[in-house]
Amino acid sequence: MFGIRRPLRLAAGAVLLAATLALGACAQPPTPSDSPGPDGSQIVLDVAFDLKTVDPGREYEPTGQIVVKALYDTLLTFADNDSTKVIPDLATYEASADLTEFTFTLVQGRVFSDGSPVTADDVVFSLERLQGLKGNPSFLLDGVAVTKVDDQTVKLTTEAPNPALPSILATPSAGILNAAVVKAHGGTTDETDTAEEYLNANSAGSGPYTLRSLDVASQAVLDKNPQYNGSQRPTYDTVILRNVDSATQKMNVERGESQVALSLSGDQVASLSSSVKLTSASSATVIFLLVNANPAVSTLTSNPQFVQAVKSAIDYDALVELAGAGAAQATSLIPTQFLGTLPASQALTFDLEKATADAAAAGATGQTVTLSFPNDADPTGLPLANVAQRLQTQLAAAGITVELAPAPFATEIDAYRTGTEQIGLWYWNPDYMDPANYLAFGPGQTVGLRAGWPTEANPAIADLVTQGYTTGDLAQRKALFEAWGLAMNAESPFVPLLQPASNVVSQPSVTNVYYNPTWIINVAGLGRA
Amino acid sequence: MSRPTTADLTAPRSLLGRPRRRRLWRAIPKAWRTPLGVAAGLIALGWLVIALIGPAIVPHDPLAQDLPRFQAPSRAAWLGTDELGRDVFSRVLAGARVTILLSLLLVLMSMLVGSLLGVVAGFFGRWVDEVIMRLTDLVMAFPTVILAMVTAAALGASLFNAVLAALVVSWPSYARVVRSMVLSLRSSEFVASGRLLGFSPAHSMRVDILPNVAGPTLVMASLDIGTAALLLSGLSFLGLGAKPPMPEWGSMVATAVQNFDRWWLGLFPGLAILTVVMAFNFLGDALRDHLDPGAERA
Repeated sequence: MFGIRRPLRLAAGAVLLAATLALGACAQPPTPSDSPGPDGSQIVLDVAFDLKTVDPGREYEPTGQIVVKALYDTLLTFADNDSTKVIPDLATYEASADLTEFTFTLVQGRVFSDGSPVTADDVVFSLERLQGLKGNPSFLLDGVAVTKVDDQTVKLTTEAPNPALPSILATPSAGILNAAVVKAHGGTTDETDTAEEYLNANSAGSGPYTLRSLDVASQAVLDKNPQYNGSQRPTYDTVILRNVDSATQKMNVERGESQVALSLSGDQVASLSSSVKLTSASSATVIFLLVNANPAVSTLTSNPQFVQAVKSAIDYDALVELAGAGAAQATSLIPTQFLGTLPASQALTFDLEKATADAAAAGATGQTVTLSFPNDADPTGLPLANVAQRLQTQLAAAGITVELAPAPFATEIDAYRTGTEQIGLWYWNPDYMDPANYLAFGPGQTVGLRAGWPTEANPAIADLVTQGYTTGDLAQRKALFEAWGLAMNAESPFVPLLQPASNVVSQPSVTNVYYNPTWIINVAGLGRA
Repeated sequence: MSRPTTADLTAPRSLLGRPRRRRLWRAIPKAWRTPLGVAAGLIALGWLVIALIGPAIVPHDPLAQDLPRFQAPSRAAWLGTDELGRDVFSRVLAGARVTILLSLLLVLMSMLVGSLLGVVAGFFGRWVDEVIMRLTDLVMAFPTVILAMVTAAALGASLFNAVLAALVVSWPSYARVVRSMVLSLRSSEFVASGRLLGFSPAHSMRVDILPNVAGPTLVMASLDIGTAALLLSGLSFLGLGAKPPMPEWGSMVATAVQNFDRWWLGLFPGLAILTVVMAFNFLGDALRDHLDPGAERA
């Protein structure tokens, strides 16, 4: 019937099995035509590409961040192994007491890859271009005015106090471009800009590497920037980033065809050969549950006692186990790499008796709630379907009946954004390395409203959110965000579940391997044993 | 095709059907006398039994996540355990019920819907025929799997919707075949004489037409069970059919693809699909070769 003729049809019987066997193996095997030279001055990194462009003003994908981080310096940055404190890169800064004025003084003598000096004009052009392109990362500088004071000084003024601005300026998207070169190739600071094509074939930054070639579907090749005079000491002359499916990445790195594999899941690294080195850390991605507080969506999930039941019904350790090596329980919505995260002792705990009692008191018996999640999303190699299925079993043990409702990301995201999910299973990747990013979960804020949680529902937490947006002192911020995290754990309709692992598998010869939540890996920082 | 003689036409209806039915029954064991037919028959029968009594014979709850994850096949878990610590063997057995029973249901439904529309189109002809045949052209103009995917995606992911989606793409071939048979039957003398005797269209279709198209349609249906199983597991493989945590072969293969170095996750559900599809295909072929000697032999 299905329009397949007989001889074909017999063969068709075997197709699904054959397809499954083939699918895993048929990743694009890039020919290692540039295999490491005898001097070992080349390094090959395998990554499952999520790459659209390497124009700093337009890119906002993980792979783009790796490349742009190597090509463009930012005003400020983070050390490879500490993501809580910004350090100077192209500039040092001072903030006004009210956190609305930030003055940046450029470090003397830094140059672009063509030898011309980095000036205040370049900074103003780059940041205004980031805002004006209205691209994916443009929101980072919403409400910020950039003005040149003199050739070495730039002032950023924000409409509201913005303690997160220094961290924002450390994102690769805020990289500083060579204004003269970019303008010569169609660069402007508004949407008429046409420099993307040029920037996808050449780089125009002051970073430790320059772009030799780029194919967004297969590979990026970077050369060491001979003019680079910053603080980093890049080891490898050539860096090759190849688009490789994660199953193939594992084979490549074990056989020595690549030096670093960046996309292996916790389960894949569990059976790794001993010839390679594993750098495993929990990623900054937080997987969380949203239990809708809006009675119009569900009278059951909006019952605070039901939320309490859900929070105690979850066996967090058993969830973390699903994510494999390196994963950790999310102690609060703020991940462990960030300022203001909570110690493990203050995380939510599993208590089946309390959960059962709370669920019964909330009237969960005999009712079914829907747990929606995107079934094609697997943040750092952990399919949300696995988490959802385990949650379903755990909640059932406490007397909460959950029906799973998987849907493609593209359709489910609408239900999430409009706040119509009864229970949603989602994840949050930090936009920039500052805990202020997470205040969006507060009552009346963007994500809070998605859970049907208005400001008036919890004025105490709403007050902490306001303080979080306006406090600048590092020590005060730490205490403030910890208090916010604790209050959120206790009273919010969100349940922070886990931070899946981020695994970097490398040849033993590669040293100084650190995972960074924003730019994944700093290729200029990699060393050789 | 047996053309009733004038004597048959005047005989009571109960006598009309009997010789055909007896031939069908006698035909089946003979058709299975080929080694392939015997093997296919046994495998298909085995799967049917598993589908019917599956829940009673699974060694482990197919939904329980109480075993260690990713255990290779061993004495404790014959086919290993999956990404959530569930017993793969139990899930494969439990999956038989979903895939086989739904495939049978799908084939039955497309046969009913397709044949009914085909008979109506062939019998009434003119604009009714035009409308129905253009509709089949429309459906057949699309690649089958793509159309099924679009339909399933539009209806939302669930097994019921996957069956509906598969139904949408599978009825037209029945409609076509049945229509062409009805067209040739309609002009035959016994139908014409029936009409002259004053049979209403409905009566004529039931008494004269349907018994003559039933045999070939059944053969076609038996050939389609395997393809239906493949289409349904294909939709589940793409996430458009069974919802987790339901044990379903297509979705089990889908999770296996994400854990490619654990071969047992994909191999066994894949083998299950393979054996079911092959068994029903061989069975259908044997049946067709016997009942439909006019058909071209491959």
